[in-house]
Amino acid sequence: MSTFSLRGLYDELERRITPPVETVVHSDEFAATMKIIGRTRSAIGGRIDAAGAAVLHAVNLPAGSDIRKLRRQVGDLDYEIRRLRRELAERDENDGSPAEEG
Amino acid sequence: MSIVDGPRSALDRVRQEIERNALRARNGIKMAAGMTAPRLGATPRDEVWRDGRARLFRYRSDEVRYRPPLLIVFSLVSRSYILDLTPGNSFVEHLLGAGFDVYMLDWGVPDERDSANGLEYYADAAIPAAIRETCRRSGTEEVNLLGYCFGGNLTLLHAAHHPDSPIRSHSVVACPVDYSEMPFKSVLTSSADDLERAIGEDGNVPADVVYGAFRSLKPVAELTGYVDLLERMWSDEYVAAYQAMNGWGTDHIPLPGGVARQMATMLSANNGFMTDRLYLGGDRVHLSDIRTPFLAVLGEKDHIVPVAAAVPVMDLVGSADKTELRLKGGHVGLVVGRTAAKTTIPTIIDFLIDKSEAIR
Repeated sequence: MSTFSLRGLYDELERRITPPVETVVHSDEFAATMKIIGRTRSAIGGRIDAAGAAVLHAVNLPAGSDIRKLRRQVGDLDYEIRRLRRELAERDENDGSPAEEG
Repeated sequence: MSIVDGPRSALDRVRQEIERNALRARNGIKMAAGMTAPRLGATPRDEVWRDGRARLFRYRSDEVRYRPPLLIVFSLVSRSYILDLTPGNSFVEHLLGAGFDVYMLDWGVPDERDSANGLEYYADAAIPAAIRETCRRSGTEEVNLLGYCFGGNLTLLHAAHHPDSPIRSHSVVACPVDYSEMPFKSVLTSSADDLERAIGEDGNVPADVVYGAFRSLKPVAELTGYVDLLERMWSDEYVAAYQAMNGWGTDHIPLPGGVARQMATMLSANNGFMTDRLYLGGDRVHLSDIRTPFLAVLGEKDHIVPVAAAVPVMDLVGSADKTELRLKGGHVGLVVGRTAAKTTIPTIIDFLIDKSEAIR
């Protein structure tokens, strides 16, 4: 019995709260605020990362940002290799010779 | 009678509530201990092709009664197991039961190696390769193609750019084309700077940003979900369904940075599908070049891809044979749950049977 009345209370609350909450969350102002928060967070994070990297670089150690940069570069290479492999397979197919199974 | 029944029914309710509280406690402990994890994506399948993180799966079936095979192309921002959620509540299971040879193109979880992937990779390279492999494996010349959500965008782009692609029929489910009607406008129309800031160090839009965008559409829904769970935690069936759905709903994957940039400019800012300003690899492509039999399935209660964002596809494609199926379901309800099992899925199956031929 009490569960039902509590549920009823929540439903009533939700019915009243949802429209204004959605109005706020879907507003341009909210989006702008979130963007500012995001920019601030990334600016602060960037400075902390840079400071940490400077300390590690001072003792000739790679920082997390160096590893991430390397991973991106390896990722770009992987992308290029896959693209070339596809082009070769297509060329093989157009030439009539059997393409290697992927 | 009423004098006796009143106290008895009150007593029954108290007894029922005590029993349910015991079950709630039991299920709560099981959930906390991770002992009730549902079996997701359980239909047996084999990986038959892969390229990078993209994988093509073929579902096992001894009862294939129709051809050509059905190739499902999934979205880029969520996990494909929603189409094979749990045994008994699986779109794929229904399709297999109907006699189709079902393949699923799953994009996997992108990482640094996928950050440069643009729409061209999906529409011009991966989908054609998957179609070729599907035809080769099934010994057919054509496929029935089905794109789910953003996967529908990918199949539309592919079909528009390659009008000679061996597609017998083309279906899209909950697929947006009018991006001005999409609820993520503030996210999709971010400035180039904001977009670059949203892109993570691996070059992709992080999964939590994708999840945040979806969650912002219904900010109170998560809390309501918890309240519903608390109320019905006594039911094993409800707990299993909640875990499956909630697990999927919070299990997003990163969006490749290359695609995010094209979405922000070509699909959203330029509203490319609607304005006929779609470019792939330097070529201009037109949805009007799609001539294959076409089915669009859309949900009237879809809060992610509203009807207004999905319905214009009917006017944009050039197919003479085109069908619109508008249902009361939401985005996921089109393929999961009782309504899907009763209405959407049988209608999609009827459409596909109509475009297929029986074997033997």
